[in-house]
Amino acid sequence: MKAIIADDELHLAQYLRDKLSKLWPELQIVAMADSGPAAAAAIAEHAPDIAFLDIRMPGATGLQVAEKLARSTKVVFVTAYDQYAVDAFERDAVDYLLKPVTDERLVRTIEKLRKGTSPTAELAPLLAQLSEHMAGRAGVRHLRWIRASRRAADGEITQQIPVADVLYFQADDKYTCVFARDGTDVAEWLIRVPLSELGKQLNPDDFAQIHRSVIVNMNAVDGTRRDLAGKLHVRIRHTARELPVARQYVHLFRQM
Amino acid sequence: MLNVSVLRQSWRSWWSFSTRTVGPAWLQVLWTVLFNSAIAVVLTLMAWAFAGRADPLRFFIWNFVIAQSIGLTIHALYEAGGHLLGRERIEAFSTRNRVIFFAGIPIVGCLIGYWIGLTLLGVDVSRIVQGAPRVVVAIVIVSIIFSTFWYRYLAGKTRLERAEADSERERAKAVDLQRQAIDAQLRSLQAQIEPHFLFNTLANVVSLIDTAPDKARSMLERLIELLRASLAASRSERTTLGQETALIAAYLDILRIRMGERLSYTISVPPELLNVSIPPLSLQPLVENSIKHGLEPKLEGGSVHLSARAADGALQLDVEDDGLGFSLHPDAGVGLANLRDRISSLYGARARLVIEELARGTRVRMTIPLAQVE
Repeated sequence: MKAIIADDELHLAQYLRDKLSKLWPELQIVAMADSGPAAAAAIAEHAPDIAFLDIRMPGATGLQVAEKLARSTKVVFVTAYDQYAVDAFERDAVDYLLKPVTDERLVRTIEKLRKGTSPTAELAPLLAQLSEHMAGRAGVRHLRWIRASRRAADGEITQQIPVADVLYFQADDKYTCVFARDGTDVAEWLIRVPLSELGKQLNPDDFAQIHRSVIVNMNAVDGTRRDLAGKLHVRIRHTARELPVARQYVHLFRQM
Repeated sequence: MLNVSVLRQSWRSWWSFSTRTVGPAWLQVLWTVLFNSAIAVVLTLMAWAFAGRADPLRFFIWNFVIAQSIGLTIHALYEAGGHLLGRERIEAFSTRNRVIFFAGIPIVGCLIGYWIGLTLLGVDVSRIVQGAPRVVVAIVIVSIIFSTFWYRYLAGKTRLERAEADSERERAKAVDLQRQAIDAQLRSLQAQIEPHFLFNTLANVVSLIDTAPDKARSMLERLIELLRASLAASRSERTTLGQETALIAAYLDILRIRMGERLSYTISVPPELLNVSIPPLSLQPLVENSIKHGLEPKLEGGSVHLSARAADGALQLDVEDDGLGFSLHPDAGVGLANLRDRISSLYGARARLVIEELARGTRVRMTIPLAQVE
């Protein structure tokens, strides 16, 4: 039988190799990989019977590597601590090892692999779900920082600006202008995300669309004013600016 | 110098009978004269409107002379009282003494002022006292009523001011408590060692015990140092930059054993800055962010540089890496957002956290007020 070990931390990979050679001398370790892409390449080259995959690796996670595996290669995941993944593996009877690997636990896994009772079930749905979770898309999370640029004396600077400091966003063709507090001033930034796309990622408790081309931070609204024509405007704190409110959004300011 | 603010404060201190007047003494006298004149005008207008006096000018002169006499007498009596008794004693008056002093002086002042005023106008006061004692009684009653109203107004105002000062103190106390609570909460969040980091490090120690015991020992020592510092930091509000960089060095040493060639780091802090005060565990999130989102996911790894400098009374701390850059991972920056909340609750607008994307990598710059540890 042939196997590969993939772990970006060299000592841990070597430790597992040494343990395997002691407890399962017939097993042939044909390759050691230190990243996701290296693991995928080694598997493609050697077509091993077993792949020991660390979950967190640079380039691609062990889960992503496993998703593309042929059914003939059995996967054993190795992790130091990923409680969510371990729970899922336990539930779906997927082989996994916890680092540091103990002899006792490794022997049990080896027996299952030898007898062929190790699961060869379809891993895809579980892995897809886990990968989503690892990427942080599970559950709703709102943007905290926005990557924005502006022209400065010495060329363009790009910063991550805190969403909490944003006063309002204004659509500008394909881009979006961001007006944000910068110490005691107000700075204008540009981001390369259209307003409609951005709106979905903002916390609706704080941000509200008030016009086709404007999303304001409700915490930055100082007050409202109705002009002679009956049109509603909001005053933006820290600026002398007023922004018009489109008719369909007027209800947002009823209580103010 | 006289400006609008001094004028306003001087007027306020006159109006509220404050024992601590603002501005020059002649200004206080001027306020009294103006007030007296206003009363004379109002009385004349009232008499003209309701009683139809034929000679308003003569009547105004009468009112003016009497009002000034009374007002300036009261003013002089307060001044004299203040000098005789002393400011502190007046401020410490019991309620009874306060009533006697602040309501008594206007009554006495009215009587003396009337007498002076009428004398100035050429009236024989003794004849009025003998001929029409009812007028004297009327004057006494009017001045008592006037003083009582005045006193009640002043007492109410003082109570109000005291209540306002109390609630202001309460508010400041609540804000301070809130600030401390936020800091403690965020500090304990940042003192948590990530389980993945802890278990991976321990797994490394176990894997090294047989093959490289020296490395295993040094890794364990660094881990103990890190845990001890984290624990200490979660319990104190301030640490020194020197202690904080020692903690960072322990953290990075552990990672360097684990990541091997993939990680290198430098820490450059001028010796004179080692003793400046910084919030505990405030550098840790900066470095952790570089590692987690910049260098760990990068195939070939990279380097992280920590540097400190003093500029314009502020401490500037830079953590720069040549990693993948601030990722789009929604978890990225949670630690930095917490840190930002923390320093802004501690220092307000004097603290800043700027995350700049470089051509290669990221630079996070934290600026806080420069302060030596007491």
